[in-house]
Amino acid sequence: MDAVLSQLLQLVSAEQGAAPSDSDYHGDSLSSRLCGAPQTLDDAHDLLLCAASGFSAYVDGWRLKNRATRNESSPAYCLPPEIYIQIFECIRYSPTFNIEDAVAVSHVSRTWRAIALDAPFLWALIRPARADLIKACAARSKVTPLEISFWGKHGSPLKRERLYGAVLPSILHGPCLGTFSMNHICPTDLVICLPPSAPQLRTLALSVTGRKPADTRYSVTPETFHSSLPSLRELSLSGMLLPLCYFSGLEKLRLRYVLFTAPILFRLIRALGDCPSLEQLHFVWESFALPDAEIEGELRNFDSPIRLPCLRDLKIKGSTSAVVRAILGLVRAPSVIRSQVSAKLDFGEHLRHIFPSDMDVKDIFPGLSSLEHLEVIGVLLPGQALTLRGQLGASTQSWKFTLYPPSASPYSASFAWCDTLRYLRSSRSPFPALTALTLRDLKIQHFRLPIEFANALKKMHSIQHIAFHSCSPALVETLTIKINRRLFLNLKSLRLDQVDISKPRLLDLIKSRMKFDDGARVSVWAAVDLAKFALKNSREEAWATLDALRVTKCAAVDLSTAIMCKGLMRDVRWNGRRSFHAP
Amino acid sequence: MVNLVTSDNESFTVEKAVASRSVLIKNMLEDVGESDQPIPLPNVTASVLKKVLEYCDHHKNEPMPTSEDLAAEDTRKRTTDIGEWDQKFIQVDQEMLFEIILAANYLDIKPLLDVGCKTVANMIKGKTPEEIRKLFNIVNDFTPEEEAQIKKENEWAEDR
Repeated sequence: MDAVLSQLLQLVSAEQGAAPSDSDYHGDSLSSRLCGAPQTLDDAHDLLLCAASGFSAYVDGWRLKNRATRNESSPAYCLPPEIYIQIFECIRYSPTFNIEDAVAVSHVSRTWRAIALDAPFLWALIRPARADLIKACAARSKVTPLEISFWGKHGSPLKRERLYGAVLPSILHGPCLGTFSMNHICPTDLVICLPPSAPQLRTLALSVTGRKPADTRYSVTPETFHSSLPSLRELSLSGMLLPLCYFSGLEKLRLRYVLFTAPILFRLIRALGDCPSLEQLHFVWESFALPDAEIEGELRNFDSPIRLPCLRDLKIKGSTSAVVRAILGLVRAPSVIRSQVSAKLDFGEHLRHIFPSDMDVKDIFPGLSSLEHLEVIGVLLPGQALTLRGQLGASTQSWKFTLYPPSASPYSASFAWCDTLRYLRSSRSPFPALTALTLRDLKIQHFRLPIEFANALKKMHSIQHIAFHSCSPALVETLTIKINRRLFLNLKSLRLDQVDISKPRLLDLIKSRMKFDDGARVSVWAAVDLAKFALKNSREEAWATLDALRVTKCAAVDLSTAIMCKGLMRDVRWNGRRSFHAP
Repeated sequence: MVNLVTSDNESFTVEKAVASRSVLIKNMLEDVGESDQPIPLPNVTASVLKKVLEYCDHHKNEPMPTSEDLAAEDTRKRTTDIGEWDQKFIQVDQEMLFEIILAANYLDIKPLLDVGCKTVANMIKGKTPEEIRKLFNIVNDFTPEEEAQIKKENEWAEDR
């Protein structure tokens, strides 16, 4: 026993100089305890315990030092801290970043932790978590503008009393609040939490429940709102409203599921006049209507439309044509390059009824008069929406109108759509420059009488390119018969994608629009039985020549039909191929 | 043409347009003017410079990042996407990856440094500390007190 103790004491004493200091771990030096030999067995026992503890600390220190030395040989350790900072920036600003990534890099090693804790940006995004972590993040983010997001399916896991009582006030009242988003909120509680001044807050997104609210009691009135947010540029509100008069620098305003009354809606539009920098304006509802009489009453009190010179993106979705018409009538936005408007039509209404007047169309969407390509998109189920989508230039400008029929009755839908199409070809059409028309997913249910649809397209002489994508056979057949005669007289190219068109119907169409005097094609022309084909069916001189055909996944147009078409036209592509021959 | 000499005394003769992708070399060339003198690169080995020059040669016709681009750095930071060619280029062993990052930093080739940092960031994202340690051959060197703090932080995250 004595010999073991003596050896241990000697070993520890000898290693005191070389080993990491035990005082780092235990406060006082072991060597001070080693002076003098033990007098009793108890002394010896204490001394042994003390020596063993010191030895253990020495071994721990040695292991630690050894591990740190080993890390130095890792290739990752050759990078200087400033490069680690760049790597952590890439992690932080990736769209999928979450706080676990920051926590993970800070738990790898002492070096990584020191760098991570010295990178405030890594801790500036605060999401629902335990209050301890939120506070730690708020402290570690230092002066970096905080991005606080309590947005999730079930809201914050924190108890409401704790959230509004302690956590939110403590983090919102920091000087560095840059972005704040939260759903499942109680606006009145939140307004109390908001700081009187948040000079760096640029983005604010608040939602009552994440779902549509039952009523408008969530509107916060100017009298109850006392925050100064001079830097606010982006405001998203769902199911609630804040007084806009405080946010004159707004660039983006997104309002979702706000159940306005007519006076509140018109007051809001009037307040937009004080936001000259507004670039984006979204009104989104699930199903929203206001009584016509109320709209008329408010319109009478409105002096002149509000001018929004910077507005580039306008969305109005989920309301009736009367509401859409009222908003469009009160806003003048000459710079709009992207608009999405959807409206539920009333009986007898169509596209024209979502514009305040024909003259206003040019004021609201000046670009529409230059629109060359329009896509008409149906849906697979009967009685559902019809969408008109247009694009101008290299995808920089786009317009989308989605129209919902007044009832599920296919007849009422059919009438509304046909009226819309007639409007498109009328002299008052918002699309006078239209040269290309794409019909997509239009099924027979949309048009009980395809002939009616074809008639609605009559006199669209400017159309040069037409495409059918997944349209019903009856519709395609009716239109191709009409094209054989006098529909789309300037047609130059035809595209058929996943439509059912018979071989004779396709050949008849081509023959009706091709040149007879093309010597190079005479032999093929003969092969399709020229003798039987009456010259009277051929194209009239004033008509354009149909010389381009694209056919994709049309079961009835087989290789032999494609070869025949190729002989009749200048440019034929069959299932993506320009070059195809008989086997 | 420009003559570059590496730390292991290997010479590389490359087009000026290729060498000038490095802001360091570009500035040196501008300072020195027309000269046949080789440019020493004491912090870069031949094997790494070969890779770096491969990158510079591929991107030689692209416009150099301007001060406006650098000002818009925030936007660039917000993506960890890497171009297809760059992805293949950077598929090297870990040691070479870190050497390329160091060389890009030294030679001041910002786009290459971005590619390297994004690659390492993509390797780290979504991994636990233990997985990161294993990936980069790092050992846990925390003191017991730090371990206790980390354990507490792990509880924060687990308790979400």
